[in-house]
Amino acid sequence: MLLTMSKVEIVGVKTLFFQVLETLQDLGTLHLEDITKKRGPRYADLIPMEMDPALEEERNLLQNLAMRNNAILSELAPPAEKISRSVIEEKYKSFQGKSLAEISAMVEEEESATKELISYKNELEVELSRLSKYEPIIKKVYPLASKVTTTEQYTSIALLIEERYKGVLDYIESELEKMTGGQCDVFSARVDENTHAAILVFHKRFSEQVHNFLATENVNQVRLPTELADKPYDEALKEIEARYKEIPPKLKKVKEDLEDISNKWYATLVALKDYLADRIDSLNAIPKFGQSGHVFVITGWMPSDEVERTRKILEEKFEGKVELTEEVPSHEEMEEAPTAMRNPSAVKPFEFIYLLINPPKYGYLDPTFLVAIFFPILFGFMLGDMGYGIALFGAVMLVKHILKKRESKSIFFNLFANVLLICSISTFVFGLLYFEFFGDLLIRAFGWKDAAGHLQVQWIWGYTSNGQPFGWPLERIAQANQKMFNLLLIVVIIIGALHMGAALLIGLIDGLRHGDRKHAMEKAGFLMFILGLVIIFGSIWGFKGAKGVAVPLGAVVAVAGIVLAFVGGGFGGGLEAALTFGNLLSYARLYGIGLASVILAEVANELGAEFGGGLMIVLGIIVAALLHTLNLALGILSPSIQSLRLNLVESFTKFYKETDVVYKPFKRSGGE
Amino acid sequence: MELGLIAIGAALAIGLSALATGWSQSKIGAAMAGALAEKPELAGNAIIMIAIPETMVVLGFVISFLITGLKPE
Repeated sequence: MLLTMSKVEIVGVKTLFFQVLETLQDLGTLHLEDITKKRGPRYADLIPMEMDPALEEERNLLQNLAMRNNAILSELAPPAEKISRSVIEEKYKSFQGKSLAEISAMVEEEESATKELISYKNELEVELSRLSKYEPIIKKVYPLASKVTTTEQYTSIALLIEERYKGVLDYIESELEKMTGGQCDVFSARVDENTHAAILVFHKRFSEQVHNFLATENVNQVRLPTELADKPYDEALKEIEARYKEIPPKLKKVKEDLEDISNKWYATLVALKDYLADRIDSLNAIPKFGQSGHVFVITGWMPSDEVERTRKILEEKFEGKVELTEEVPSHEEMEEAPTAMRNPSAVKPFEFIYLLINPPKYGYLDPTFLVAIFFPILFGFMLGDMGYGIALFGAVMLVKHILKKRESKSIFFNLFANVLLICSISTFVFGLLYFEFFGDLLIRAFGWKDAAGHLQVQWIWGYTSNGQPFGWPLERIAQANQKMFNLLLIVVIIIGALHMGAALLIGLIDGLRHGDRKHAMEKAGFLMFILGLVIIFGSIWGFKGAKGVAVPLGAVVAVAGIVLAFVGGGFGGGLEAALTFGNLLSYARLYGIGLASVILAEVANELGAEFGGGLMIVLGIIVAALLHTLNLALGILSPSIQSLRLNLVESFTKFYKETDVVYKPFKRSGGE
Repeated sequence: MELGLIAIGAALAIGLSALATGWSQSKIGAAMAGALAEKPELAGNAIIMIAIPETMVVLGFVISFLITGLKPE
């Protein structure tokens, strides 16, 4: 449900302004409004507060400190032992009594302790990454290079040539001899399955010619780091190898030193990050406030049940020099009221949809409870399998455990994990209705299928129009009874009618509450149209005795609904009412997706059973388990998306009004 | 009506509507992927937009099932 919000105005003497701001940030209940954007006589005498140069300078310094502190924090790995919130909170409080100069000195101390280590670590990592590129080359060329001796007048080039092109070496050798007049030597050897290494030794004065020749022939030359380019290959490679071996222990030592620093400083750095962010936020908020003579004025919104507590705290703390008053908002101001939600724990996970669309507008009904009722029903109807329900429950619990262990802050995943947990229960319940346990495993085990492979109903509830019984278990692939499809189609359309009906009812109530007669008429028209359809199809497929009266009656109600929607919402309203029929039929997807799921599950069992007896049973079980895993994965994805679609498209489009303003109280980070 | 014709009719009903849905979703999906790269907050709208053409295949499925319920002459 949406919280009732109150518009409040806080007035106090200017000298207390910063203390009041700090108190409000501590309380964390006030959603600030920008007074400069306010119009009307109430705000005419107010002058927006301005940042004086001293405050501006303070903000710049805070921003600079925050940037430096965050830079250090980003370089340090969090300590292995989890830091408790209370430790961070305690450190946060310790900053409140410190001056900016003290905090600045602390950041400098942190910097001096970490800066050199961090830059040394980065240097080592860059060097290691650079040298690691030479490692495979060293392994290939070094054995050959160590056999080659060169003098000062001679230089060498190493080449790596693929096995299939090794013939090119003879060509290179003959060209080199021509170029140098025989003052050269070529050593080559096969270094692995696919590569030949070669070292060309020649007089230095032919260096340019040889390099040009190799470049035009597109031969893969081994290039050494610039600082080693002049050294003979064996020496250069030896040096690279030695350096490559030296770095890891050095890097390990630096990382250990940084770990020590992290253990000592991390909590302080996190607390400082929060503290600085809060102070910057607080200074940034100043231009939103108004002033007049000797007083400051802060306006905003807060949950109504917080008003008294806040008023009392302000009164006690500032001895009546600061006053909080509850204002009666104008119609325009109500449009800007922020939306805050407070739902019971069973409904709260379904707030995940507000990560996809904006929350509802303030003053309208919160439809989260509608999603909480119908999302699991729609999901369970589609997946409906006791085995899948249990597996999904286990998988979600595992994911939740992992999320908790990793301290995941992803709101979407945390909420959606709980949604899936609730859906796993509805999957189990619908599975019980269909008596499906990993498809037809239990039905096979109990021998509830006849010779033709059709499910035998164990508990007869009634008979379809062709005289065949239906009941428990409710068969989804009713090949023996085609009329079962009609029955299940009626069930999904009833679910759709209830879902859309509830949505339209919310729209109707919202229209009436806001005195919007046209809106209410339009929604009433939609509702009447759906009611008309239910009467018509109910009499055709269900109560056939009343067909003669019910069909014309339903038609009249449906047409009256279209007319009413036309009056309320114009041509678009009338058209949308008629298109509601399409929305209703759209719920047939529940049956379609469910059918695909159960058929795949039965195919998995059938395939597993095909492997026969003996040891092949194990293989059969593996194949069946793999297919069931695939089906479950699809079974989670598809019903989630389809349920979401039915909620967002078929239901929400009928009534939903999004807000532009979400309640964001002015509060401190609180050690987060 | 012959059983074969019934089967072909049912196959056409689901097949053509599935193709139409797939084609529409490919167009909408590509456009929405581009839009999401610029504005991730449009995720909700993206799901709605992509899901809209699915109605075609659902209706195709319903018709297809209704056709398979016809008795061959």
